[in-house]
Amino acid sequence: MFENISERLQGAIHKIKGYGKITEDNISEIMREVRLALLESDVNYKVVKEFTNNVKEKALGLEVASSLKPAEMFVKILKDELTELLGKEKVSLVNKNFNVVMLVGLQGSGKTTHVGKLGNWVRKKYKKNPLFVACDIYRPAAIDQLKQLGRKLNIPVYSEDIKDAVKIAENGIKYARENGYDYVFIDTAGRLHIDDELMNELKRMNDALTFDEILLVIDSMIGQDAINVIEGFNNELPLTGTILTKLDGDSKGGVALSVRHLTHIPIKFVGTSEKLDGIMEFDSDRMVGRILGEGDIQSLIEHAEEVLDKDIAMNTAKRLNSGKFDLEDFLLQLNQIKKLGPLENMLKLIPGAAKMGLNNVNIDPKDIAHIEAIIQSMTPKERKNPDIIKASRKQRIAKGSGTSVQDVNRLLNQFEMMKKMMKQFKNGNMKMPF
Amino acid sequence: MGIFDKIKNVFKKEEVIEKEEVKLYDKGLEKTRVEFTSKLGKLSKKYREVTEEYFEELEEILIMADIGVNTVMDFMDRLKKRVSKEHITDTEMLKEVIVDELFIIYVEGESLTTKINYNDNGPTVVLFVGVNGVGKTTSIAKLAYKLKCENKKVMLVAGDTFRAGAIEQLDEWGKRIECPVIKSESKDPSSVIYDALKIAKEDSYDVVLIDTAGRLQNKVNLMKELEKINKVIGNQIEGAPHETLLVIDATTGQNGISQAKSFKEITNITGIVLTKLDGTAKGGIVLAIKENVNIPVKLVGLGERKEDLIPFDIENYIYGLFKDMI
Repeated sequence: MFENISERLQGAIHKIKGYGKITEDNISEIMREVRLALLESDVNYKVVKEFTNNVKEKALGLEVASSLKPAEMFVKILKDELTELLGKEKVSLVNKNFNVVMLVGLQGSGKTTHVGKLGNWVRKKYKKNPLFVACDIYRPAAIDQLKQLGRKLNIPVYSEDIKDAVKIAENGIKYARENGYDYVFIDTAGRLHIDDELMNELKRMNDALTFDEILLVIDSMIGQDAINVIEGFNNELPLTGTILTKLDGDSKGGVALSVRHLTHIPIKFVGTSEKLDGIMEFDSDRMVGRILGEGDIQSLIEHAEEVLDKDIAMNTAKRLNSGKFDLEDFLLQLNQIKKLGPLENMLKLIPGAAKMGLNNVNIDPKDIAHIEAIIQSMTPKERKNPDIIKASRKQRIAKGSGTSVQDVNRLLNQFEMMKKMMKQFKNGNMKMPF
Repeated sequence: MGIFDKIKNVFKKEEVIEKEEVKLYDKGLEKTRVEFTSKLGKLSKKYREVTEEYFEELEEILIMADIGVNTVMDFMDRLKKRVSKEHITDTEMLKEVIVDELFIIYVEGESLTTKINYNDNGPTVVLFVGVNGVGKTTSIAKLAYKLKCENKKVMLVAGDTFRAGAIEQLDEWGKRIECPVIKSESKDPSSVIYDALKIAKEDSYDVVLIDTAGRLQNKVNLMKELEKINKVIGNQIEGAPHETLLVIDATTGQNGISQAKSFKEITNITGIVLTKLDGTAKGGIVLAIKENVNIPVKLVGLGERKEDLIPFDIENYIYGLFKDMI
């Protein structure tokens, strides 16, 4: 997501490597690059100004005192300043005996979707029993949307056919208390921060009810207007945090750098896919690493651990070791991989991905679907023993899976190669690539 | 040459804009304009003479309007050149030059139209595309209402089969503006669209407006799906879609350029619908998009009511932004 900042900064850092020391002359040129990179990433203009001034000052001031090479020094300063910008301490979502959280934001920022994701999240992480309350009484079918998400997640939705959001929220919270729910999420209508009437509605809600958290949902593609939006909501409501959505797009999400610095409200979550588990806690250290191109192996592992079924993984590992790995296992593996969400996202998190050219790899989930279809068109016997698959069987499989014999051949070849590679890993002839 | 002569030369206007529309524009852009122009007005009061500080502050104003970074940098270079070539020292005079140069970025000597490209032999198909949450469905409803007021027989197609509640949302709009909505249980948007276009031909509809699911432009599978949708439409009605409108949220920052580029690679984007311009966002990214990707803005969303969609007019847009200044 931050390719551009990281690439440009890396370019700037590379330039510094050529210099013996940081001087007023050479740093200006580098700071220009840094400045443009940040502006292109939608970081707030004032934040950029302050940031580049700070970095420049520190880089020049430390010149004599430090024994580090200029480039290393520059990276360290950038890292410190970026961490400073993003806020060092992690602030988790509230977790009490009974919690009420309201989501607010502009139209189309992703409030309803993230109510769904958060409900799923607190149930998994906090072992809570969530309830959704539908207070978007304006947008056509907004309540329907929440209900559909609720059905998918098996989380009930409290709604009323009245035009009073305050009343609905109040009743919803009451309903939760009386029926054994301990985590209430209030979905609200999207509104402009300058819409007095609708902002008043939120204020009335805040006056009448007690919220443990009020989260501002922000689209990560937002530009310089972010500051008006954030301040607009923050001036009217006691915001406790923000959620940055759509970070799986190719926006550079510079708003992440501005939010915290300009308002002192922590970023609590980031939205990373359209799926209902596409949400992660925000971590500034990792984000800084990502900006500077150091990758994010930790969040990769965490995400994998969260999603993957450990039993299946253990079983597969055992079978791999015993050399019994067959197409049936392969199919199970594919299903596991699919749960991780778009593979591009995973690739990007690997350190050095940009250098290996992996940041721009496009993987079509349909390719995986095709492989699946081919294996599913095989008989159990064929899956256990792919060697018996000859011409006529191949034709049948191709027909059954809507692919061609070439596709079937390719899959069988790839599978054979994979098995060979795995044997080599096992025998210790080859080092694991990571 | 004065700025208004220039405008008149560039815009061979086919019709006079109704006063009502101008008023709506003014109202919608009021917040935008107040901030933007008061800043520029203040700037020329603060600096009587053109200095380096003046340029720096001007750059800030333009960047804050989300006009693309590179567009602004090039613009500043050109402006500085003109200033030194024409020996401009008075900031009052420079204001006119600034507006002038902004026009040039957008127009580039072309004559642009915001009219919908109608199909003379059968239904006109308009496809709406864009990333998530920009306002596709709402814009469709507004355009449908506008066309209905022009006595067109309009059909809406619920092609967003992915997002929860999307079909119901369009359906609800259909009821409000009394417009038929074609939908299906199928999860495949192409199949709904196929059926809808068949009906449109049989029942001789004038215009078919097709909704699609929001998709981030870097999602390969979703972009391929869009490619397929496009093909299906073209196979059903020759030359269709006659318009493919990319919906862009006015709050969008630099990513707008990437959106325009990626969607244009897949579909023949004929114009932009710039939504949510009634907030404080300036939507300046459309200038960069026009300059870099050459897609003009056709429609502008200025509110949540069904009437709040009007044809884009660069003259009104920039005039609105700079009203106090000129």
